[in-house]
Amino acid sequence: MKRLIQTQRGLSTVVATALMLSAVAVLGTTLVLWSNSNLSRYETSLATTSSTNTNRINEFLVIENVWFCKTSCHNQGINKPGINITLVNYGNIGLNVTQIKLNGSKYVYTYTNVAILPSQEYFFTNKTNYPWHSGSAQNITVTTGRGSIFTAQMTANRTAQ
Amino acid sequence: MKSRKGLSTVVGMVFALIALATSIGYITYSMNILDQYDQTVIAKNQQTIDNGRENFQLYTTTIKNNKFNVTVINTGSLPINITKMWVQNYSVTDSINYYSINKLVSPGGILINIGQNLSPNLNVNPASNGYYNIKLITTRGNSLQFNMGSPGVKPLYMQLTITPQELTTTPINVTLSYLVTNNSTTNNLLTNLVPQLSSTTCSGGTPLVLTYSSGPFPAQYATLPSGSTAIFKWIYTATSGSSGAKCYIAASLKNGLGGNTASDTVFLK
Repeated sequence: MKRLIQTQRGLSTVVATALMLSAVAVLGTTLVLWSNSNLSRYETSLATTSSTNTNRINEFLVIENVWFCKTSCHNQGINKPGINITLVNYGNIGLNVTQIKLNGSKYVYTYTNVAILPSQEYFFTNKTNYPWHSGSAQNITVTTGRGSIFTAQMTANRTAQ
Repeated sequence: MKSRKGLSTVVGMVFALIALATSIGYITYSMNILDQYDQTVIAKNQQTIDNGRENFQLYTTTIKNNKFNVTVINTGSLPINITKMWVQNYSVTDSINYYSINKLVSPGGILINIGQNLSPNLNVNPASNGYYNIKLITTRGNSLQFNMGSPGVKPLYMQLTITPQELTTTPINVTLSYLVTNNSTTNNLLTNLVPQLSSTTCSGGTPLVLTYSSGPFPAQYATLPSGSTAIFKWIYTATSGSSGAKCYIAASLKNGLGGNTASDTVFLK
């Protein structure tokens, strides 16, 4: 009798231990998988954010020249004053110009895909009449696809044609 | 019992090791990413600092062989690479072009003959009333901009002085000094200043007679920077005239603005 009891007690302990081990294994594995998945997601997010910011920092666009033209900078037979802006990418990565703003928000030109490769130029000509005045400052703001903003303030020379 | 205790320890250790390895991996990866980002920020800062330290100035500019001849000096502490030269001709409606330069200038060094070998060729006629805006660009995106051209675009401050102004006897030599000041407040270089005198207008009982002797000295100023004054001189001889006779003379620049003149009067006591 005593031997039988001992045997039963041992069996229940083994079963309990097996159950406990299984539960720990399942819960532990789940926890590890969950944490791994989370960490992996954080890593991806961190890499993406870092890459975006690094690329944004590396963007180096220069508003190299602004030409205030009197009649023919449109090259479309429009005899109205215009503005011609030369943008040069002096950075080591390509960029997309998405918006050019002239003097605040009145003249806004939005683009979808104006890519400028490193060391390349882009000549912007406004398609409509831009009534600049000689001697008054003109604000030019260029926005890129990564969100960088480059600004310049230019003044049309009083003797400009 | 001992053997069961050992098993749980092993299982615990396995999970602990996995958790530790994952955490260390994540931290290492994050540190690497942050390190790369830091390097980028540091490089960008250095680039911004270098941009600010880049400094070059216009040393002189003339028109030689009907071409621009610009000299710049690198006054900064970094070598610079001048990549382009933009030229806008104000005397022609809507005319602008740029030319490749791509020349290095070391700190303290000068770069000469900019504009002498442009491609395509750019000819400038110094005698014409041409007026140009020139802009030199560097690889760091900095620029040096100045205007250059005829004195006939804007009125200039000028003065004509005849000495002695009151003549007591004849014959006597009189000196005409003609001062022309480039009163532009911007970086505006005037080229090819050539003086001229109007014919004398004399009056009096017996009109004063002024005879040209020599001048002008110098015959011309090739360039006149902003804030500078050009001085031209002529020698005339007052040969005869009665008391109270006087002569009026006006001076101007040959390629100057119409009506922009200076005058003075000489008279015999």
